[in-house]
Amino acid sequence: MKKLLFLILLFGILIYIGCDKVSNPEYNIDSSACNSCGECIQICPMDAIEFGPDGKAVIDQTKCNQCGKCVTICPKDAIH
Amino acid sequence: MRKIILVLLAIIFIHLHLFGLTQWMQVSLRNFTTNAEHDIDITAGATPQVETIDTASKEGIYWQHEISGDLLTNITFTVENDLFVSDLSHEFKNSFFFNDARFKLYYQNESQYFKLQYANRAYNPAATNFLNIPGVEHSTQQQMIHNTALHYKGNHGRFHISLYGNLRNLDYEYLTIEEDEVFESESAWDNDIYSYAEFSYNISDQWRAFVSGYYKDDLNNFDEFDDSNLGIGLEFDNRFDFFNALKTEVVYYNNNFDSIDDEKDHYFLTEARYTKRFGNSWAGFVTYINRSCYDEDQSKFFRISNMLRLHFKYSYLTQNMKDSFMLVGVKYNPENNGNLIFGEVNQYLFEGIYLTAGVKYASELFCTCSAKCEYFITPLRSIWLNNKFTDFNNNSTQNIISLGTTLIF
Repeated sequence: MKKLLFLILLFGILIYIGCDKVSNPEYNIDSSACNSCGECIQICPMDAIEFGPDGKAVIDQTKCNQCGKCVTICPKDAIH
Repeated sequence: MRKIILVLLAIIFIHLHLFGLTQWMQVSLRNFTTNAEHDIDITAGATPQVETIDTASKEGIYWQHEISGDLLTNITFTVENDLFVSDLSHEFKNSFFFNDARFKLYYQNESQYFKLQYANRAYNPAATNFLNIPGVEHSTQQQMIHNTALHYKGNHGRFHISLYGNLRNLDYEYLTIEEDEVFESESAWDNDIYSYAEFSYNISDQWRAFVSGYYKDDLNNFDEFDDSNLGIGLEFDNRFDFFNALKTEVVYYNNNFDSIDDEKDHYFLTEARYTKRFGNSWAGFVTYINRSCYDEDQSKFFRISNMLRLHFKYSYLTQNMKDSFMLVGVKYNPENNGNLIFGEVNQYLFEGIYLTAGVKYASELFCTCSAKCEYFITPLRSIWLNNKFTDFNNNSTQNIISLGTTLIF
């Protein structure tokens, strides 16, 4: 288990150090942290967020304009 | 006809009463104040109907109600309704008058799960901000949103299948604004279909391999906003003992969409969550999520986002109503300016009274302080007073005071 964790963290560090940032960032929702309160849906100016199959909020990347309003409002800090 | 409907409703009500009905309700009165000088400081979108900023305090009501019960063996249902009514203000909402109703019907047995859901979100256009819908040139105002969804999950030995479909209809009005004059047009609809399928195979008790497909069709002939992907992944999920659990997932997605850069066509998602308990009082977890992509044209890997979250909780008094605990955490998310530290204390005072205090500091976005005093009349009924103050990095502030009650019956 420790080896697996170490490998994943090493992979992340390598990606962080060795790779450039993508030209257009995107926001996603950590479903394990989302509490389905719907605050992000009520603030999104692009109508880009809706509840998905498991009842957790999901961002439609084709609509999102990366304004970041949802990051500020999320009470569980689930959006990254 | 009306009598028949009434009789049917009476039968359903009696039936539900006989087979057990659980209700959860939370009602709160809200007071909102801000010192923002410009609406763009804190509102989500353009607000042409608000030209000058009224910094006087505004009042509102938020009423959430949930009813759940058993209809037949293996069949349960949930009805949820959220009503928000407020003076037109600059609170973090697109609309200051909306009603969000959801009806969910579940069927579940040992090997199958089936969910049918209809959700309806109705707005009062006079108290609704403008939206920007991709593909629609003009600013729009949402009138009503319908979501009709089906979800099926089945287990067949080591094979699992998950199917999901959602038809989303947005009823809106679009407005053309020319030289401060607003010309209203007829209502229009924005229709989308979202579908998802996943097939997985349990290699062992801990390892699972899966393939998935996702397809979104914008039915308004905006092909540019269609979206699809195919995914293949591997998951490890194991609870080693009472104190240690680990879940990891590595997925590759092949994306096919016109509205997003080609550099995200080959998309990699890596997730890990390790949960650890230290005795009965201390618990914590660490979550790491990495998203990266490979651009064929440039033959190069790019990082989309990294998110690392550490979370520790110390519970020192367990009671019927609520635990008393201290919680601290940190979130590291450099790509989206999402670095954050937070802490919360929930303390039992006396005679069913709890005090909660929390602070959240995101260096590049905001600092929030909150305090809540809650009195439990019984373990299932409480009244509370909550205050949440936020100082944004653009020097505007907002304060929300809520007086509410939570009931389970």
